Amino acid sequence: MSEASERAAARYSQPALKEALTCEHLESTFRDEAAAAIECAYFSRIAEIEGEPEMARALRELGEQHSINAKGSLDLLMRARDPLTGRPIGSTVANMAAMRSFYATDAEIEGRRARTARNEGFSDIASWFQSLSRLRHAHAERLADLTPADAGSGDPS
Amino acid sequence: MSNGTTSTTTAYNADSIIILEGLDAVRMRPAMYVGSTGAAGIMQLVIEVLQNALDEALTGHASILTVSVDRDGRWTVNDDGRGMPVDQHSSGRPIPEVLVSELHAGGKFKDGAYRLPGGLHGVGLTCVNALSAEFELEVRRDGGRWQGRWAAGRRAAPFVRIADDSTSGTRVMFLPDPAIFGVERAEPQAVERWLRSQSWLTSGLTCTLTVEGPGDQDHRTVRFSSDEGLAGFARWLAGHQELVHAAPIVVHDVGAAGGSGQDIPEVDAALLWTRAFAEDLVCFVNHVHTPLGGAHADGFRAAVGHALTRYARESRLLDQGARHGEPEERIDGSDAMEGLVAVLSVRMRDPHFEGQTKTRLLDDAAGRVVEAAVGAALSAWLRANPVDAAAIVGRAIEASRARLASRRASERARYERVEHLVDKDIYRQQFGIRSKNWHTSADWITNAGLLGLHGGSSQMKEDAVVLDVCCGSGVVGNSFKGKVGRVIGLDLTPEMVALSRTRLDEVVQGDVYDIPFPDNSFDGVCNREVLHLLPQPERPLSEIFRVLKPGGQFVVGQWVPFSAIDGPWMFQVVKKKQPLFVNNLYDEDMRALLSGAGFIGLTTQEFLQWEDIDNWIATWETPALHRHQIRDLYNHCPAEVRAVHPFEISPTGAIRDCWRWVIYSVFKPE
Repeated sequence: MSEASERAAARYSQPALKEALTCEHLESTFRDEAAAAIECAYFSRIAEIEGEPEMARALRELGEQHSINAKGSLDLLMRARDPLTGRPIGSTVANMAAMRSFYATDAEIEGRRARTARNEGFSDIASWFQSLSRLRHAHAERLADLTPADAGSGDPS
Repeated sequence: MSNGTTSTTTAYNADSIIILEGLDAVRMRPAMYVGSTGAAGIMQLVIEVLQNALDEALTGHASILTVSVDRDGRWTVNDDGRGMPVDQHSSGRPIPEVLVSELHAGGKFKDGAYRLPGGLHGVGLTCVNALSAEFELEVRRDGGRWQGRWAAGRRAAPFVRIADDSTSGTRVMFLPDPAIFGVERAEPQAVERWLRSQSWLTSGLTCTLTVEGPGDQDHRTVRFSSDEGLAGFARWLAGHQELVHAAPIVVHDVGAAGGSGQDIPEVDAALLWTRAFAEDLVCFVNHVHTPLGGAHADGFRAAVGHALTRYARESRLLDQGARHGEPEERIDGSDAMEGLVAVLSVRMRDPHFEGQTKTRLLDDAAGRVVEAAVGAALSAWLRANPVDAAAIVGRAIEASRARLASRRASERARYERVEHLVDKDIYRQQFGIRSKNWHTSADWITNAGLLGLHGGSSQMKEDAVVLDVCCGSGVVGNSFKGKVGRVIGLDLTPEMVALSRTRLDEVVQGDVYDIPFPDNSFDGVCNREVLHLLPQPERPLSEIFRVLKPGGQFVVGQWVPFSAIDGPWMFQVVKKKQPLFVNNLYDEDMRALLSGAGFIGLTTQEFLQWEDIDNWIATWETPALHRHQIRDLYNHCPAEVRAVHPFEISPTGAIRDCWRWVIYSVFKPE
């Protein structure tokens, strides 16, 4: 099925996903699954180091499932919006634009988080946020070099 | 082109499809076969040839293995095994020609000739030939000597009988191709380590290495032969470390753990606990070193952790916190492994590895056999040796408590605004302990080039008085000696104060947040690698500014990330190593901090320094779990970070990281 017919099927057979509460739920599920995938992989490695291979294997396999599930949620979200930025996603041009927008916005957010952490006395966490903020800027620049500024701004629906 | 227009673009048709001849494929993508095109790749070539010779020893047909490298980088490996078969292959060519010029040709695919082979299974020798500017193969057997030569994988001289010879064996000579490996050379030390290991792993094997030096008299020959087996290996790995128990614990299990079938892996191990912090587990599968471990290493860790925990519970050595409403004290596997030096050797049929260079074993079943064999042997040994057992378990409990203390240190190093103070006890405790081996705990501390840049930055007069802030052992202040009149040290830790008094003119115990000297006291101040450990670094910098005389110079050295790209990765590496790490200072942060404190006239010098990471993380403040995670960060480093931040992982898994140091020189305005 072509991209156009996929879009048509989604439009005529179902209500608009991006305005529905289901879209928010899908975004939450995506975030939970993605976070659980990372956590399971991380915990699996700790179990390996601590000499618990059975638990390590179980966690690794659960993590693989979460990873697949996160992608499954993202598949469905493709009809509506990017869970990170709310921008349209689907084609590589749109996806690149969404990621670039994420990096640019999140660079500022991480900077604000760094200031809060510093004010609250958590110097190391502030430094972590600050390091991420710098990385986000660098990533935004890297993607900007690959994509024109207005790419992907159109709404695929 | 679908629109039918003419184009100068290269057509994509049958002519575009190139089937690379076997050896051309190797030359086109050498890293795919031998891991890299640097020194590590050459080392892999040497190991491949050695592994073939070793396989002869493992089948009982060879007992002498000699290796030499000449001053041009030409390697020769000779064994006294059976020699390759010299008959004609069904293709009409002599078998040795087929073996060195066809991928996946060899005698290890069938049972019989080699029961438990190492090598790359029909790829190794062929890769060596493909990647060598010169390759010579000599076989001695059946009363004759045969020889053939190749260049860049192409036959230069046919493989023919050249003489009578009553001995038997195989000799391979090769020169790694400079067109592929550039001017890189394999470190003979790595080959030495391999030969030493094999002499312990293989009873009755004698290995010799000769390294030709630049001059005619500079040859060096070392010989390895040992009947001590893995116990000797473990003793050698422990070196001069203080031991927890005198004799290594030896495990020898010939398939008994899983039944009597001949496919059950054979397990040999030797364990020796030391008072050091790092674990050193060296694993082999069919005598091939697996630096990233895998199933057998996981099984070993599980066995050690469970055996020690079980024994500690049975012997009531753990704190029964439950009585006080707290969870019962427990020993993690990583605590149990702390300070353990161990060698694990598994021999099994048809092992499965991650990657062609066999860095990690994938067979879970082998892991379970190792776990059962090592667990049973270790538990029995602990019960039979209660005095040593108590010392070993006590060591693990100590590690567990240190891990908790380290986590608390990280949590307590919180600077709550100006009115709250840093918990100085944490700094005193850590650096007090580290003062015992300060100079050997990291390479950067005494690196002459780096220290030279600090002292060399001095623009002070000969009679100037300099304060070395957070002076540690005083090596930075010492680098100013001879250039200035007097160097005074300041440090929080009594042990460091005592250490630095051997170098500096005077040392005062005190706090960088409240420097115990009046305003305008010094012509210069120096400091190195401290600001990243201090919450609110603006405050110590304002103190330094205060005690400097107008026009006085401040020299400060700090490692910084190479760019924004490696910053978060570096943060994780350092934070796991050092719980007191609170500021990931970039070059721009240092510049902003210095100008924000009021300094002017900034000049900088950069210095790249290679740090031995395995040594750097072998310290009290770095828990075993973090040491593993640090190695993981290097082993699974994102490509984007690798592109900006140089580091090396040797075939043995040792890590060397390149640190970017910047030495800043600034002045207090007149």
